Amino acid sequence: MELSEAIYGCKKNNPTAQQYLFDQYSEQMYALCYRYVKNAEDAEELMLDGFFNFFRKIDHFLYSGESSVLPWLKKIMINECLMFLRKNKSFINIALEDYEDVSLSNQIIERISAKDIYRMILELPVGYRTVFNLFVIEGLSHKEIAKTLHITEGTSKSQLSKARNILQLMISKSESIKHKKLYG
Amino acid sequence: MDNQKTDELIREKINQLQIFPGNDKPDRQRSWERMQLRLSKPSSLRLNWWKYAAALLILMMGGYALFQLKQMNIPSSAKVEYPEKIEEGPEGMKSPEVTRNEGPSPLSPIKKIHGKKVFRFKVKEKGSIVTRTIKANDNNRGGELSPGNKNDSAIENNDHLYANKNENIKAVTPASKSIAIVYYNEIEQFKSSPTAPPETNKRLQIRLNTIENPSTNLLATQHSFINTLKINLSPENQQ
Repeated sequence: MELSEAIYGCKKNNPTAQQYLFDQYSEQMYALCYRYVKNAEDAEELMLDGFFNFFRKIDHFLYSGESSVLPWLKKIMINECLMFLRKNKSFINIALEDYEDVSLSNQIIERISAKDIYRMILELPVGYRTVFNLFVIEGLSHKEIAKTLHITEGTSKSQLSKARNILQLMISKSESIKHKKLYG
Repeated sequence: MDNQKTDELIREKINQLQIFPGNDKPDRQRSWERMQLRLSKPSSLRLNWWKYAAALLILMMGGYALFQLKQMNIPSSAKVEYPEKIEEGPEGMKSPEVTRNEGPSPLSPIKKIHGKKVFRFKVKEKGSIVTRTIKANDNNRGGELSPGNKNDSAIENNDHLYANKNENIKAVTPASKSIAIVYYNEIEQFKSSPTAPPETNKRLQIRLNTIENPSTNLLATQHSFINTLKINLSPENQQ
């Protein structure tokens, strides 16, 4: 079954088509949800909610190639996660004024695997992690993040800076461990 | 600039990550079964709850509107019947001379019409007997709704008072009493009454509540005059 057929079948409430789409994207979407909430049960629940909304609102979806499905599905999942986080009041709306704009080294990032980066992101506190996910991985601006999370732009910037600081510390620690393993 | 490049690098690496790296990833088949359960649930309740809410709201609003309409609808029979206007006679009518009465009014409400206390008495005017109805003033300050005394007998017994046309009526006001007297020239004694006193000087004794400016407020042709004054028409007072 092709993706376009599956989308057409989903619009007709065809269970086979729905299962096909679910099998195609469920693991990726689960990983996305887990990156935001860092809890297996919550992530699965949010992933199911996201797919449910996807199937219910699929009539409004205009299929324009295979690349159009994933962004739409991701957007639905991110919205579900942010709603969940807002409901649980996971954010602290405090602008940290004494932050410094920290930059990570490209060479070090290139050496680190995607799995390691993923694990490091999961280690961040929920506020830092959410802003980092939205800014770095989803590509939203601070203004958009502030609007989405109902926080100020200053809070968004400071949380991102803190996230980068912590990530740098983690990367340097991981690099030193690797260096010790290699060279004793 | 450095941050932008680093961010792009991280984004690429995370997006390439197709498989969840953790050990606690869910069973896909089990997840799909749960998904199927959600999809098979009737969505009518989820989608149509607002219809029920809207219907309930409309019903409540309709009930409220009906209640308001009933409150506003005053039946015409409940309207207070005001006494007839006293017409001026051929010789004209004198303005009432009034004095303040400190004591309670001897009149008491004799009947209730639609919950309103009224006084009723009959007066002959221009050859016909007219029943007068005076609305009791509940806001009076003299406590005049107390039971009457001997002078109230004419009213309480529904005696009638008649008057001859063009008869001069003279008032005699006792100095010790503080009463109001109104001179009429159309009133005469009820002829057929065996207990009627001689048709000489007759007076209307009018007991008043506390009225600030009687000369301007108590004209006989005004409704306020009738509503405020309590007229004592007992035969004993006509001496």
